[in-house]
Amino acid sequence: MKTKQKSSGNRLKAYFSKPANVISVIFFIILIAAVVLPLFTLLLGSVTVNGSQEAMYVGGGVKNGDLTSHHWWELLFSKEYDYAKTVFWRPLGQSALMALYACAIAVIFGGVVAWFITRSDLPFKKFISTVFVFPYIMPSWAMAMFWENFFKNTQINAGMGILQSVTGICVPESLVYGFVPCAWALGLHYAPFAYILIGGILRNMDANLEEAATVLKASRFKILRRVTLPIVLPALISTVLLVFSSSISSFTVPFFLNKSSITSGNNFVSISVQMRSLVNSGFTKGQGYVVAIVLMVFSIVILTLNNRVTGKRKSFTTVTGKSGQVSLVKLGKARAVIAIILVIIVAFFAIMPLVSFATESLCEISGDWSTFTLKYWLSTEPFEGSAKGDTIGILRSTILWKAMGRSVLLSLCVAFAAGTFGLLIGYAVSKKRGSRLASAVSNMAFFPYLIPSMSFGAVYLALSYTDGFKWLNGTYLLLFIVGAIKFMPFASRTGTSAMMQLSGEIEEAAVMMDVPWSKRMLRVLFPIQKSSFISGYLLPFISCMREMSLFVLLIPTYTALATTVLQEYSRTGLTQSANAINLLIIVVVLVIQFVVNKLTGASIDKGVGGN
Amino acid sequence: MKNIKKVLAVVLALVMVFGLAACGSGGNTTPANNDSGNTAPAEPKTVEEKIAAAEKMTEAELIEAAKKELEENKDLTFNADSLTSGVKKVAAAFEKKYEWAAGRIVYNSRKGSEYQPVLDAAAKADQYVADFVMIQDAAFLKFNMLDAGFLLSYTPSGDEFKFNAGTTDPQVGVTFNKIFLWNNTKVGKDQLQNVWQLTGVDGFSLKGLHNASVQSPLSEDINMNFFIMMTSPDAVNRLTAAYKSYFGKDYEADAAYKNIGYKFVADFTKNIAYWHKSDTSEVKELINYADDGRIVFAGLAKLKDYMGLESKPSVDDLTGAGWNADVEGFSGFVYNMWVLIPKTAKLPYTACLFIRYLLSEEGFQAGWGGQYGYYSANVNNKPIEGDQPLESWVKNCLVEDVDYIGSAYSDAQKFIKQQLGQ
Repeated sequence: MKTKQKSSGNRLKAYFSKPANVISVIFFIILIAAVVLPLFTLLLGSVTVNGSQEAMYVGGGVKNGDLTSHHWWELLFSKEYDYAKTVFWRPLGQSALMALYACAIAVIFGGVVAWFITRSDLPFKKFISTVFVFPYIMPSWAMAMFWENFFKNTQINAGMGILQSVTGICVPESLVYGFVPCAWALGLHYAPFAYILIGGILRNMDANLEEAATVLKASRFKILRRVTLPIVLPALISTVLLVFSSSISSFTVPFFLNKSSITSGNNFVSISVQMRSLVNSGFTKGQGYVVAIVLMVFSIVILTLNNRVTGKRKSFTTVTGKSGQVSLVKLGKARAVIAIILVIIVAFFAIMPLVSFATESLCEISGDWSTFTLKYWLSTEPFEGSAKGDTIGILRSTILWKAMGRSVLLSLCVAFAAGTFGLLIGYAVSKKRGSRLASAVSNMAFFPYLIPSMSFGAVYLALSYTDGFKWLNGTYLLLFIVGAIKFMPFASRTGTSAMMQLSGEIEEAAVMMDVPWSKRMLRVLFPIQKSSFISGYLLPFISCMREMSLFVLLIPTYTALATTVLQEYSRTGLTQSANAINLLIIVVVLVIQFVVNKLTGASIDKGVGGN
Repeated sequence: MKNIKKVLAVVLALVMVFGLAACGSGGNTTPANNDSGNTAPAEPKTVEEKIAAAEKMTEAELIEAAKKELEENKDLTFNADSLTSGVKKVAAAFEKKYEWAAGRIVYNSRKGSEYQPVLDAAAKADQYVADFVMIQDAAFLKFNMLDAGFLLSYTPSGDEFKFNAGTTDPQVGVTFNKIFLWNNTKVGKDQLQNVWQLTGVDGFSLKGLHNASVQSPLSEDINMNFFIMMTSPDAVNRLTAAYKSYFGKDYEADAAYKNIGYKFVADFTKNIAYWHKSDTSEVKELINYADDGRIVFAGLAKLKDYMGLESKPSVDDLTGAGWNADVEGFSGFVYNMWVLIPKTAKLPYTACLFIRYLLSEEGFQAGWGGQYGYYSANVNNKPIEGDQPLESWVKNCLVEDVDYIGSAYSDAQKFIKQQLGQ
């Protein structure tokens, strides 16, 4: 008996002597607590009566808290006024299609640019690479607003846009509002994301693999199909997963780009707009939760696909520690033409929105330069009748600077936590690839991404009103915890992709030299995949800096963060100040990215190969 | 190995935090009084009792009680949560008038749909959320807050206060109206005379209009309530009379619609030419809508954003004919914003004094004076010259009725969403 106990004790000891096992177990427990809780709350909300307003809606004498299948039945099957079809099925189908289009645009645009930057002798790489990530730093609605401002025209009674005023061209309404512009705005917003993920892999790919295929007389297309694509496939699927999940649940873009009349045929009510409407009404909260769950199921399907690719050992080690080389494809005569086209396209979608923010903040009336003013930047006199003095020029506003400082600090902390968690999860998953525990940790680490921000915030709001956790209510620690968990998926995906590329031999060599685990991580593994790991830190940072929905329920006051001040100004009609803050947030992110670049030598775009 | 242990220790500490989070999430029913961080002060009287006492006090006594309350709770600030920035201005004026409260009043901007979950959570946990709240959405207020007894009313008394029946329990602070506004430069002030014009169909003397701009009821809760109220008995009567006047014949019941209100919702929704995203921005844009005289359904109060721009036409250009306060059928929608005190408030006397000040002439002027579209519940406070009195708007508009919305919501919102989703 004693021998048996000793033996199981030894097995346990041996099991926990491996860092990957320790990390897997620890994160399994953390994620159960931090992720399963909101998931469970959503599921429970979809089968219970949420408040007396909803009880009245459900009818039949049900009371608050009672179990009910009404929300599911109503939303999925109700034929009264075509309810299920109008509110759920049609918007879901259209939104899924829109998300697929957005994926295609993001992957093709981002992937092609990544290939040119990493694998060709294209000129102006630094410029293209630096500027290409701008749209991702902006909030997605910024691209939507820019799209409208550029393409709107008087023929559709939407006012004169930039294109019409410059060229006189009036595009049809279907290119200004509705399904197509939504897909484009989202695709362009997430293209940098595809660029970062795919580019990171391409950059680290040893050209010997492709050259070996060339020596074997494989055609260019065959090399692309049989060598390059399989290598970037995990990153490609991660991109599709992230872009699809974000696009299908994106609220702001369909909200901004849906102004057409119902009879025009361009009216597009997305599932996210329906979900927001359902959740915001006290009568139909449960139905909103049902939509959130269905959206998650969509993403889970893609996640499963992703696991099949990475889990069944179909990913490829590209960083072996042995000498590798990157030989660039010579573009020949097309070099200059391609470069000019890319510079124009990238500059257009990345810089023009910033210019539009700047101009909007400098005119009393949008586009009317006769009303030019610096008031919204520099005024020391309160405007908008504020006696509290917080609606002065944003550069003079201590309230805004304090909010900006808190945003930066919060984002740095969130990025550090999320990035480190992601890196550790990536390590554990790559080492324990194929095991159930690793698979569970990997999947759970991605779940926060699938839960709508507002719902995620709402769960933690309720938690902060619960005994034992009331000390968290209204604190920045709560914002930090929520941010770190919500943005962990970015880091865990990039961490896992990067770790998967590393050959086991590299760490094994260090193990044989008796190098401790922490040193192996910090001195061996991290430096090799530094660019990818830094992306894992920068992506949560950027996302946190521009996040609003996640924090809006949890902040003690609107002056807490830069984005909440922006929202308040936008809501109270101070659009010029709101635009100025938006621009300022982007500038701050770029400055911080620049500082990170100077200090560590890494950055998002450099990770891809911009330098 | 040592390093692993260090990392292990840190991560285990985190596990404990999150583990506790998981364990504790189920119980949220413990009363607030046990919590050291967010407790109400250890007063012998409850907030309800203090409000009742305040209602019997003279102004001087209430000032004394509030002053004492603040002095005894030097570590507390008075938190005023509201979705209208007018409260921010009231707070500033309040601090100026009562110097002993200077620096103690904190205004928190809280948008309705984002604030309701916070109030819900606080009510369920019986926890402190603020000392004063100003909210809209009658259905949420009634079913989630008043029925649960979480938000309480204080009604000031004295000659300077006069309230209409039905505006004191719960206590209304300010009433708003959303109406049809347009730039009358070219289309003239008589553009909209009968609400059936908004369906786009020509009447026997008036022409149908095809230029309405409305914020979608899917994203604006108040507009959903407006659309639901179009199906109410009051709206049915108004629409039936307006139909006869517009088409010159009686309305004949259509089997496809439950009543004439449903028919109006269907025809009106199909005819809306633009779905704007923000009333504030759209009213600002009125300057650009001279040619087609776009009819913007928005708060009359939003005119402050339009008129605030120095380069825009003068107030008179617009106020003379920018809207019709007497449209046949209805001219718009009237709804309330209530001023209430959570039963977990820590500074209830200060809250009572604050509400008293907000409803006084001085307070109303500080928050909303000189602006169109704001109507104090204290009828002694007159609206700006040139605007109609509230009674007139109530007579000519649909009025938010919580009982009707509650009973009709299920059917009406399905019908409305069907129209919006086509």
